[in-house]
Amino acid sequence: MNPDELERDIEKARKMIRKDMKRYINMLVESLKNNGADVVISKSPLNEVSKLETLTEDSMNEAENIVITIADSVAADTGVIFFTGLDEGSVTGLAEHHITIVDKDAIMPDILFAFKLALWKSMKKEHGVVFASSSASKTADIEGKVVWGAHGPRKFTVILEGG
Amino acid sequence: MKNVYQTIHTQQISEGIRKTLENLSSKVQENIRRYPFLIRYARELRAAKIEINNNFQYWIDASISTLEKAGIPVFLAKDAKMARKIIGEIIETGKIVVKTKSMVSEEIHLREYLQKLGNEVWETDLGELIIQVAGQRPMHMVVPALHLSEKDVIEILKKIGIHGNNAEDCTLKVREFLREKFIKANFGISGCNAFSAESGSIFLIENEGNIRLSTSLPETYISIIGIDKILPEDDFALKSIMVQSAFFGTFPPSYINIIRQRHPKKMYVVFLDNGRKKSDEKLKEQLLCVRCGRCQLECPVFQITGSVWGGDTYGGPMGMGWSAITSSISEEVYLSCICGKCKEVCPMDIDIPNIILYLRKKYLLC
Repeated sequence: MNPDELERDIEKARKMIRKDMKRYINMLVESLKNNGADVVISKSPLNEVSKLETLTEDSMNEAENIVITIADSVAADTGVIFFTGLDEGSVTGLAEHHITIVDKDAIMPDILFAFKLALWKSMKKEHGVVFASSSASKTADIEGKVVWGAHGPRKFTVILEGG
Repeated sequence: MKNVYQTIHTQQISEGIRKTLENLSSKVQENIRRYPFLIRYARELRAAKIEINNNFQYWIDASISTLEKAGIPVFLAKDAKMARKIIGEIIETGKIVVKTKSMVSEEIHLREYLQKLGNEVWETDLGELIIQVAGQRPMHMVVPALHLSEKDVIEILKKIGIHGNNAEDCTLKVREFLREKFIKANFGISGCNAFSAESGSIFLIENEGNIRLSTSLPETYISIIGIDKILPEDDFALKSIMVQSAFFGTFPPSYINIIRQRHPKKMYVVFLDNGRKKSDEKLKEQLLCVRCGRCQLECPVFQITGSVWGGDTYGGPMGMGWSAITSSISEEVYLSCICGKCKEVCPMDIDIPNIILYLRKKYLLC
């Protein structure tokens, strides 16, 4: 799919969102919570980041780290959040706590549209990597017992621009 | 068949499968209820995969051309031996390799081969690492260590110096142990859940985060792709990974990784045929499989034997078809009860009982 086709599809999706923003935001919050992410809704996401950083630093030892990202897109129906970049992939994969900011423009109705928006953004970069997170890292490989933080972040917090 | 008969008396296998089925069955139902579009996606996917199966060479050529245009070295291995040789020549010896769980790599016995060449190779999925250290074969495609108790795992992990007290402690200590391997690794190897011929993108799903680290941290990354994973476009590849994870029971997956290029780091792609292209009409049906593993857990025979029954690599009802395609027809086809549940639960509507009946006839003729 070429960038122009992607842009057309993305614009179509944005119109759908604008028409019914409240419903999509509610759907997104429900999906995120269903996936086990921590959700914060704020008019000023950056202030929330500072608060969270302080809280997290107080409760974690020095070896642990937090990574803060800006989401490239998010699917309202499933809460899958897309990012772009090879280094961004490894940095978010190595962190203990991944905090991501989702602004309203990043909200797409579903995964297919959310992927298109992230892909379109990635085309401007050289790396060609798109990745997505929907929760913290987890495993149930030993007797089906769920353990968070198998290899990636133990905690995943989404700060959603809203109000 | 001797191993299968011995397995029937191993209560731990049936107990592990029962627990896993109980955990996941309601989740699959919930996924279908919550995301009804998944059924439509599966139907669309089936049609796309039939088209690929009928024109394999066209789609292989298209995929290779897309990757070459992007400057990615790409190989087509006609069989397991050739795939091992290609990957062995890239990696050579004395390297640290981090591997993600991949049925295609099991199919070609890649880990053992790379170890013989003098490399340090680590499975990074927790269940698969446990299986590696225990020296066993995976008991289920997605949950390889489901037959092992917490106590077993505690003992097994001691072999690599991990002394955990329980599931959580073991997991977190494995995290620490493998973190060092990820950082030092020269090569990362993964399979592929779906491949888009249009963009040359490799789609991978996971919950642990080991795939993200294996594909992004090492200087060089190699993806092995069964040609049955080729799909025409990104949309289909995305739909394929959604169907696969939802019908296993974990949707949405915690992580999705989509790799088209990885500048400035290197990557290689190895497509594997290994009998897929020359499959006859009946067996081509098996190639529609997205490998969610649903048919395995729901099968009454698999519930007492695990993947000890069902061929050398894949196991269970779907393993019969896959074994016939990638190696040979196993006499174990006669142990199926042909109850039809595998077909009922298959999102791709694969007529597995019909494949097994066909293989029974073929086995006698052989």
